[in-house]
Amino acid sequence: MRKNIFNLAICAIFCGLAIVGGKLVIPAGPIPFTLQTAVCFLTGLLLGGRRALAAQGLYLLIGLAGLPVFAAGGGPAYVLQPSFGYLPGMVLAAALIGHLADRADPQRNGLKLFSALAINAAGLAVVYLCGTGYLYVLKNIVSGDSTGLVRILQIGMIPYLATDGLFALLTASVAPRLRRATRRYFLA
Amino acid sequence: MLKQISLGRYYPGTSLLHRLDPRAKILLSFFYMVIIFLVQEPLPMLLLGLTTLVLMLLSQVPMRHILGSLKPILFILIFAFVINLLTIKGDELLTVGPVTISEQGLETAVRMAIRLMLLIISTTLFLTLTTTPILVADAIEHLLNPLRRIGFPAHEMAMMMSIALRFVPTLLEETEKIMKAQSSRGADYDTGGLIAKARGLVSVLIPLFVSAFKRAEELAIAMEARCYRGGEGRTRLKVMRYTPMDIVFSCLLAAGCSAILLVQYL
Repeated sequence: MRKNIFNLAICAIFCGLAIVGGKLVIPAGPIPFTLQTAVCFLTGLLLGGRRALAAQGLYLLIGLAGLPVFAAGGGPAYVLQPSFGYLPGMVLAAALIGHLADRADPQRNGLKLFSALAINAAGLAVVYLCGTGYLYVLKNIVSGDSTGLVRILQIGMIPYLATDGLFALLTASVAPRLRRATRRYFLA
Repeated sequence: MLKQISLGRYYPGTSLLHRLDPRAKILLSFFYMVIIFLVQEPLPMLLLGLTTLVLMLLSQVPMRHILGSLKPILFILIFAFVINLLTIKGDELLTVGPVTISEQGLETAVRMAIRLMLLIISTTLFLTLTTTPILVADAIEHLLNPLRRIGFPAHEMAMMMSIALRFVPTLLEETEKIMKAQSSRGADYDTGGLIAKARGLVSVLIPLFVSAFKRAEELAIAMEARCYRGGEGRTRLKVMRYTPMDIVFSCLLAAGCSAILLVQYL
């Protein structure tokens, strides 16, 4: 099996997983959540930087090209949604998580739980930075109503912190075993 | 939970819009988007609305379907409308208690709402409703082909897009199967707090991701067995060609939009 064909297939299938994860809405408490961040963490942790970038970037591209793969549809006009910033954030975060995970554990024989957690936290920070930054710019500069930074964090970050944090913890806890189990696909 | 997902509400048909070259449709939808942003005044906006209506009729897709595409953004539409209406200060129009609505506020709110609606309707009309996802992927490959000179993997990207879309139903089915299997072993997805639910989901994600690797391996072996070696020299069953109809339609739409802009700036 040639390496690049497998890489193409695995990135494509992980992109499919991103589509499925973004569409599965779990009703829990006041805010329903999706598996989007969990898929993003796992994509990074399992695929490594370049492949994770390809898989998540492809997801973003498919959505922007007009297929309704995002939470509220798709199409180039999605850029105007206040929540759009999280999507490119997710792409960057997956790439960062992948890059760091492969550096911390180049032989794929067991990432330490603590480093996996730290890597996920860094990724989550990137997601929030892009997401809230975009929200801030869109609210204050494009639509012109001034919204304070605290308010932005209240609507764009605090509600998701609990589930995202939980996903970061849970995916980090399974990452070492999954990385070892999928070792043979990357390091033959 | 899984049944509600529909990807690409393609509406089969043979209308003018369906038969248009997908590359032309992608380019036209971007062009239309720019026009929607340039139009400011009420009269040109009305004309643009009428043009969009003509496009809707040309597509022969039932109105119900087209307007259904607005449903996901309905909340944001109303929210943005109310915020604009209430927060923008200007000449007073109406005061009810503590709430003041200004002329400028009403104007901005209506303009934003119409613009957003036109934007969503036109892009779903050109791309989602009248073009199959596979054709969109093919068209993107064609449009990005020039970028191959600087090393952009246009063919690989389109191939990955088609594979990803092809695998979405498979992955959904697999998710459902895993959930049922885990339920039969005592997993509970419906009750319990946030932590219990998230833990239950992890018991779905792990087998799902492991099987994704297996599927990718099988797919790669199958592709290699059929001598797949990238886009170089690959021939197609259906070759995309711009027809006179594409050119005439694009020119007409461009002329119409330019006329609308002229009305605004003259």
